[in-house]
Amino acid sequence: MGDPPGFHEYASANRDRLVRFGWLLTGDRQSAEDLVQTALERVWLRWGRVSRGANVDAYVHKVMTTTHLTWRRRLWHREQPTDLARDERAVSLVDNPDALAVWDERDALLRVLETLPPRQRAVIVLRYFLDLTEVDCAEALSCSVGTVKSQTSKALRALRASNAMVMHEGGGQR
Amino acid sequence: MSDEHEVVMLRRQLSAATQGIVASPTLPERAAVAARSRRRRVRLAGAGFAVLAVTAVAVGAAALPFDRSADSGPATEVRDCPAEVPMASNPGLSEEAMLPARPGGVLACRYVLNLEQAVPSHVLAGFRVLDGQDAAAEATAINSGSVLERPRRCPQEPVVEVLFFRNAAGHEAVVVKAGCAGTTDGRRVVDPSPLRWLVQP
Repeated sequence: MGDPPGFHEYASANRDRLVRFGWLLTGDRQSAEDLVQTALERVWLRWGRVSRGANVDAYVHKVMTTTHLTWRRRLWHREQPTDLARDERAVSLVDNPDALAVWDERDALLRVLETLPPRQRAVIVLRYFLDLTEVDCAEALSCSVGTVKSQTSKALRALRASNAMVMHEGGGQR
Repeated sequence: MSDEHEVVMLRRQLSAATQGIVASPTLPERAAVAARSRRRRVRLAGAGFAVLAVTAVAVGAAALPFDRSADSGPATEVRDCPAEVPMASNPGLSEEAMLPARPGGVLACRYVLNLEQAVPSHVLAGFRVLDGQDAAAEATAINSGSVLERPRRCPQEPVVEVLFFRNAAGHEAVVVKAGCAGTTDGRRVVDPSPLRWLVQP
């Protein structure tokens, strides 16, 4: 039994982007891969219908976001690893001479994102990493546009209070 | 600093922080395998057949469903041994345990190197099903295996065993065992004393 036509091409072309999205949601790479695998598994099962729609990405983003929020509510996600980016650091230090600075920056960003409630974190990632509109964010989160606006506002206020956006001003230039 | 500028900086930080993060190349295949397994299970349930009915592989049928003790995790949904040795899941250096301490059912597929082919390759030679105490003992053996900081290439091993199981998060995962002493390649684990694990068929 082969893959439905177009699925493999879509998954291969978008896997890095989706894992990066998952990494920002979850905070570690293995959980991000688990999340993407679960989302792609669900998309595979509905590929015929999904691929006929206007926007496959929107469906995948929605599945990943809602799956992540569901996982967050489960008990085992209350156990947090003590060193979130350990494997990221190991890989980066081998591959990249500037890896320590990159890792420091990632670590700082993750620590700030960790302080946000899951839905606010998801809103920030959807709006400012995937560059979705408020309407698309609302679709991905299955909520109203007003909720997206209020969650975004609260998240930005929290980030501002933590000085995250000012503290790492040089980080985005890389 | 204006709100607009802050948002621009945030966008740049999010983008910069994710540079260099790449997905496992086997991710699409793993998702497809899991989806096929799920669809088959659903169809069988609907048709009134036991899952056991479709576990036939090239070398026979696995003794499924797995026995499950109260304190072990869920069993793997993989029911067929692939014809070729699959890649280990989640490649990358990791200090985490390879398997949960008490995994649910584990499907172990064994491959032997066929030297009679023009280009020798591994072929499926058998399988075994681990659950309960056996699965826990296997997890202990693998999790205590040697892990070097730097992966290095190994020669083709005469015997390779691939374990399909559910990881601590409940998702399908794959560990490949080989007998190349003292090395590891991401989630591919290698025992320094291969005869303890791998017995020539």
